[in-house]
Amino acid sequence: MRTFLSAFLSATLATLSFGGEDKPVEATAPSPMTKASGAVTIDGALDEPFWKDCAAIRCDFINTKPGQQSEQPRMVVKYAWDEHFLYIGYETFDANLSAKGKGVKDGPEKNQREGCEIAGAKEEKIDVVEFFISFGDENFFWEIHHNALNQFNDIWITTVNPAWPISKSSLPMYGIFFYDKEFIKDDGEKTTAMAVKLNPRADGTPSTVNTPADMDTGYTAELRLPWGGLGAPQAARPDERKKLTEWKMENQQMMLLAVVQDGDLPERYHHSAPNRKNDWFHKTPGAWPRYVLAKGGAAEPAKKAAVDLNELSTEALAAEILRRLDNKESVAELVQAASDHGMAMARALSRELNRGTSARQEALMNIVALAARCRQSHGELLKHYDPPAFETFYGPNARAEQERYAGALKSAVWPRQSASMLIQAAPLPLLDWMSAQAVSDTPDIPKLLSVWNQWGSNIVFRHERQHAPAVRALAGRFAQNAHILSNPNALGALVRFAGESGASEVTEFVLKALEHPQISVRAEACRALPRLATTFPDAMLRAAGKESDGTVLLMFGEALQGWPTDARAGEAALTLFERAPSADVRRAVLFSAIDAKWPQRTDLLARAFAMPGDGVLGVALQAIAEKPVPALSAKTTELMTELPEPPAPLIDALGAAGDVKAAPYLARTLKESKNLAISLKLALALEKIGGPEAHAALLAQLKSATQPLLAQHLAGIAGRVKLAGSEETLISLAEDTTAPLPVRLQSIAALGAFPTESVRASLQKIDANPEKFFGAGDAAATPSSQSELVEQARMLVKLALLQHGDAKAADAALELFRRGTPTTQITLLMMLARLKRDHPAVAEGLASQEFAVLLASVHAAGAADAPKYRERLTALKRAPFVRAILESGLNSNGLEAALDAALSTEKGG
Amino acid sequence: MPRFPQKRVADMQRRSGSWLAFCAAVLTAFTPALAHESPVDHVDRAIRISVANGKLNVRYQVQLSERAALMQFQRMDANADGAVTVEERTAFLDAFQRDLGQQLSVELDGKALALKPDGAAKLLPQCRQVFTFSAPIGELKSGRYKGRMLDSYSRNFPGAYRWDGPKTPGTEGPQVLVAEAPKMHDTDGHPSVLQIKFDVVMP
Repeated sequence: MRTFLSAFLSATLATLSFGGEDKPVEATAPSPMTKASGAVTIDGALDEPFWKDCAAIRCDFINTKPGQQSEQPRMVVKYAWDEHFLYIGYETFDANLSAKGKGVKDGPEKNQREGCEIAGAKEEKIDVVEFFISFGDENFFWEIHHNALNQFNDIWITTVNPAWPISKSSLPMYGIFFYDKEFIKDDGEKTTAMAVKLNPRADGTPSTVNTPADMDTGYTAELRLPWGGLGAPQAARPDERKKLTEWKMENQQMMLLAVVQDGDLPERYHHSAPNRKNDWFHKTPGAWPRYVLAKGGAAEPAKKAAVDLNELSTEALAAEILRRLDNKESVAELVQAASDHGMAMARALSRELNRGTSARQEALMNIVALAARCRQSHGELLKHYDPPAFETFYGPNARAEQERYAGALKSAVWPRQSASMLIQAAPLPLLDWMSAQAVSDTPDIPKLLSVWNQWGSNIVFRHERQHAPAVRALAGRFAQNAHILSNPNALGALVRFAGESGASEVTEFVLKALEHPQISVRAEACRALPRLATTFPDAMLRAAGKESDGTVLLMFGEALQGWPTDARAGEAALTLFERAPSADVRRAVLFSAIDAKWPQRTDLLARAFAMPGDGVLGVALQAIAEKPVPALSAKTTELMTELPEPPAPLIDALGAAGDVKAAPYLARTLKESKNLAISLKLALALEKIGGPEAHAALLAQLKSATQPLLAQHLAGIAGRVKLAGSEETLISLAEDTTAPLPVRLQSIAALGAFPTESVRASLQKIDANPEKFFGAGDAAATPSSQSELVEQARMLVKLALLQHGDAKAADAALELFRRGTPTTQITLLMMLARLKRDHPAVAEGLASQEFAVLLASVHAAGAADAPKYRERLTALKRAPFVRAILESGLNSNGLEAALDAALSTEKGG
Repeated sequence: MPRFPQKRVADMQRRSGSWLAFCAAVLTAFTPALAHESPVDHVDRAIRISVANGKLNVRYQVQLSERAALMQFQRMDANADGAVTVEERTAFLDAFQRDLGQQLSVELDGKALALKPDGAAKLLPQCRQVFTFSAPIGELKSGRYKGRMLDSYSRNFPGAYRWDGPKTPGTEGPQVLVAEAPKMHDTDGHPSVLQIKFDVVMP
């Protein structure tokens, strides 16, 4: 492994020019640094109000070209301070985020942080941000590094003055000592902290680190550095004799140089010093920007701009964006505010889209694409929330409206954001352009690839509400263009696009691609076919017997899950498993078998027992756990003798098999287990197996478990299986005000299953004085979460009493339901579902406008008395806006399946 | 009945870790069909309090998830025709605004203010809804007045909170300054609510 020093040297040496002038640089007047106000949450988001008041410092000066800024913004930095910390906020705009950790941690014992590599192999293209921090000394200062994975280095630097005798020593390398074992110490409770927030990509999902295939948009970060650790001047130190804790930093001066490395760029280094010559960053402190810690804040012009932003009209904000772009200033801080204006902002910027430099166009397209992302929303929402968007996408003049954004279609070269902007803002003109490309003798392959890639992905994730059928139809037309088919890269991308858009009419075309000589084309065909072919194609069966490439076989194995009930897919799975050149492929086949109903499933899993290596048997056991295979029970149980400490998949499989012979083995392991996750699995497996031995083990654990989560689950199991002899322990747990609340909650819920006098007396005691039992709670709880749990506890006591036949408890539970939070309401409804018990709360829940409450109500209605609620459930399933949720990419948490299950239930439960 | 062994309780407390993790576990334990994350839609809110013309004004903005906004439309769409009329929307939002106003309690200088809706709700792109309220405070003399707002609506929904002003402290006219970082205020055993302590500075 490379050492930090050698990595550091190789990275920095790469930028050096040793022939630079040695003329001292005239220091400029210090700029004011804003004082932070209010609570600062270090979460990477620069959303605390004071950040808006801080001057935005551009870090665009090209290291090898002193005084010259890059055309595109590389990084914007803001600094702030208070009585305890220096705060650094920054944003990078890197389209390909790359970061690498050192794998070792450093820092104070209680505040260790993983270090970051600042250089790597050329192909790794590592990015990192650097700050050089000094209180005025040009030879002694901190150098810190930070990256998109929130990894952090702090190095104490000493540079050697040529007049010092040590300069003749062989110790300093290039005249610099790098003390990488030093670190910024915490100042009591004032600790160093850092965080990163990845910027959203054009499709709204966060940028990704170390995924070169996608288009990132950078990230924001916050760093908090304590004055004591940084070594602020002694004169500013709090006077301990007066019991002061605050550093007196106002009017102190600092030197701060910000540097950004982008591994993708030929000009890798950019920085914040306009007058810096090209030399080691360490050797040019005279040119580092200087700051004075001011009470009032940043320079007036920057402050004025920040103040005005939130109050600006759409037109004024658009003008400010254009002004900044024309002055080559960053617009990063305006992007969110701009997209908040919706399609009105897109309209305001539309005339400027195709003017100026490519960087300017790209910045504007990015804003328009973000604003137009609203097209993914339901049309009725747009009509009310963003009328210009409704007009643009659903109005009678939609095509003409969209033409505003379609200028890029006539450009020979597309700036980077073009495809995503066209898909979002100008889908109709883009479809026209694609239609023309489909029959063109000279199709523009690079542009088509970028459109196919993004639009196909949007359809897969159901973000394309309007034009999926038209896009699908186009895939068929592209498949007839000989010029596209003759280009292997285009062919592979088209096959993928056909699959993602669900163009089933081109299934034959995709099947032919299975025999293409290019590996990537065959692999894409395997990936696409499950989305296109409803029955397992014969061509795939043939391919299973002759395909030899490992990548294609892996895709093939994963594709098999697309036909879980087709016996021919099962046949192909067996063939593939036998022919697989690696365990990767065998595991992929077995993963596909987990939910499959193939007749060959048992045979397939049996073969995994014969070839268990490299995780193959683990996946087979997962499949058995999901759906037990009686024929393999003996083989599964035999594993107990081979594995004294069962792995998780074996525990799950033994539990699912329900073989009582496994109980002693699992019970012994549970008794000895120190691993919480394994203990939970063991308890659940014993619950499934049941019987005296399993129950005895569960009872013993319930009485002795010290892990709260395990105790909580054991209490739940005790209630579900009516664990004989557990009542006293459950009562003890429920009443013990010092026990963790979730354990008590679960115990109360479980007590409902034990209709005995002592249990009823305990429940009534709690019910009569809930404040006594739940007022104080656990000291570890936050007020917010604890009081939520207290409310749930009250509800569960009523529910348990209801199970005991206390009719009054039903009314009380309803009252708690009505004034409860959604979480409390869900708790009651899901308990009712589990108990298969009807209650007025079910009907009220079905009328709720809170999605989660509605979902829980559907579960409860289906379990309690489905016929009674049939009419309401049917109406819900047909309700247009419920359908709008179910048919989009929004998370519906299984609502459709719950509705179907409830509607197919003849009687309660 | 013997008390639960204290050593065991102490062990449990020592190991109890993140309380939120337990909340999630409880919910998960009761709601296996709802997977592991809370399915309750988040509501982000931005609050601005200002003083002008003898009134204290509250601008309360919520940002809903698209799913939550569609569920509201489901409620508004009484005839289930898939369209929401302006009348249906206005009726729904008016009722919501009245209800929201009742859940916001504001005190100034130790006196409770009677907050009333002040203008119709406004819808903004990205599923944002803006509600404005005001309460008469009379002509205050020059000085600093302590205020507090409790937001009972906040107890129902998780989500981010942002103080939305004032933007230019120190300029002319009455100022409203946050005196204490907003925090959740415990409400006697019931779920906590957002509390904002602020100062009104009259020039």
